Amino acid sequence: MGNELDLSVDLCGVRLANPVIAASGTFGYGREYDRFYDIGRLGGISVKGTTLYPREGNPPARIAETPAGCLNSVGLQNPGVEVFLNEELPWLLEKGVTVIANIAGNSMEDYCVMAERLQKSGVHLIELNISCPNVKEGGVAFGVRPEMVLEITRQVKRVAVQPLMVKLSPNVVDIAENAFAAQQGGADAVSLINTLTGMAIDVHHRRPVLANIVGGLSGPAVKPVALRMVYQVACAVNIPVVGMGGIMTGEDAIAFLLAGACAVMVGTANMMDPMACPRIIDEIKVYMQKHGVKSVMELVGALEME
Amino acid sequence: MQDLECTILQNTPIAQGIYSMEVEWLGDMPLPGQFFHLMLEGGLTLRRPISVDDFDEASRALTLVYQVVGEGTQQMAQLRPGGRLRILGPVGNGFPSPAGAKRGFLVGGGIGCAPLLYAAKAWPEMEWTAFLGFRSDAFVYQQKEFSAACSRVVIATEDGTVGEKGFITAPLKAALEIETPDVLFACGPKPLFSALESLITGDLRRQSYFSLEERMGCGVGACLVCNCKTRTKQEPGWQYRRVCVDGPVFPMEEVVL
Repeated sequence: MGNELDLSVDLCGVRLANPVIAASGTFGYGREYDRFYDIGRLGGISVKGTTLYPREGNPPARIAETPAGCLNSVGLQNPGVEVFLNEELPWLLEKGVTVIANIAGNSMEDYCVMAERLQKSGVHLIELNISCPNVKEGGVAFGVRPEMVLEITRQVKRVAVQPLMVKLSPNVVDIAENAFAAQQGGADAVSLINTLTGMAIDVHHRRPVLANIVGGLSGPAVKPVALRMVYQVACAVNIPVVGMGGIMTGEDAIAFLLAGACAVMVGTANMMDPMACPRIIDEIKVYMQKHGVKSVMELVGALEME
Repeated sequence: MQDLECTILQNTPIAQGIYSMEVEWLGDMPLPGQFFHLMLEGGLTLRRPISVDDFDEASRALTLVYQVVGEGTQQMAQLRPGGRLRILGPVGNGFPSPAGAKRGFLVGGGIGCAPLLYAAKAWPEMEWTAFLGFRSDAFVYQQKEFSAACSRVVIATEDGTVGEKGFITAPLKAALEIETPDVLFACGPKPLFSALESLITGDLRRQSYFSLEERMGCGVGACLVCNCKTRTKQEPGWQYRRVCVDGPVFPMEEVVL
């Protein structure tokens, strides 16, 4: 068997060195983890959700441990798109890593203005975080109703120069329907799942643990839900699917590829193991060697049914 | 900062609900006021941040003093010498070096006293007075160690079973009426910080530092869950800072309680 393992992935015409992307939210803009390893080794990095203007985020406590996972209610704290463009992006591009700009907003305009600001920036892809509340629709998240998913995708697609990947919320009736709506709206890819809405209660003080009361559940606990959703979405669309949700190991990543994802994102695992991403890349290689898989693309959607 | 699996040398209770664990740490030498982020087993997702109580450079023995308050710390209390523990660190900015200073006050409440011991030992040229508050005699720990490292140790227990009766802020207030230290480091529960905020006056306000804590995620400064409010000069007059890497030590005047 040859030593040449091909881990590369083509995501909407952008070449990723391998299928492991650092998920938005736990990785900042890459600087902290670059202390542990060269982040240029990653397939890509989806940066912290960035908004038009700086956001302070929610008051503490912003995290609660839950069985095999955690809840977070950071509240999209970020320095705003200008700081991202001027202070974070140049360093990231120099690192040679594929940069996915995760953008968030509270109105369709916000997202469109963001996409416009990113046109000449050099980011490789845009990831649309539609789990944010739409203030013009009473605060319902953009990603809830398929009609809104379609509309926001269509509007941003008109402005965006880079391939547009829509990050789907799992807190919906039918995620496959929403994925299809994103495709109809012109999405070049979809990524899923974002966090599941959850809550934790401190019974000794009889109070919610999170200052925000509710937060997003992530970690191994959500993996079965994420896998099921990736599988269903991959069956419903013909655009690339990027999967995430509780991936801790190379085998977890392989499961998502088999379910139909062409790449994966790793988030919560970084909090437990700063070396999670490069370790998962190595573990994928071990699997490929063990099973005689020469190219990682062979695994995408390769789930065998009776 | 390294993430290393360490051998546990010792793990013993030193007061009610308080344990002292020694592990062999072969990574970077920790500074006083820094902490380590401990990885536990059994499906517990988050690491536990525990302050450095002591570090012996020769033997590489790192002492972490912790209070059993939940599932994670309960698990820590069961660890045995010879076992292994994965820890990430040292993390944090630590206490500022009291360069040029002669006298310092260390003010601690309960489990908050632990990081102050390392501060006293790290700067032995300073004349340290430790003001340590506990609930009762059952909760007092490391009295001998503090006495060895400090010129003077003042203990207060709420029920008066050891030292002065009441909160540590009373003897501290009395001391501040007679003398002004060059620097003050404090660590403990929020009510202690609030009391100190009212108690400390004059120039000492600018030389007082609090070691804060907040629920943590990554411990490396990336996830932003451990943020606390701090005062700034620019509009709007405050900002969030990360307790893990921007702290855990902040100037008293910047802390918003």
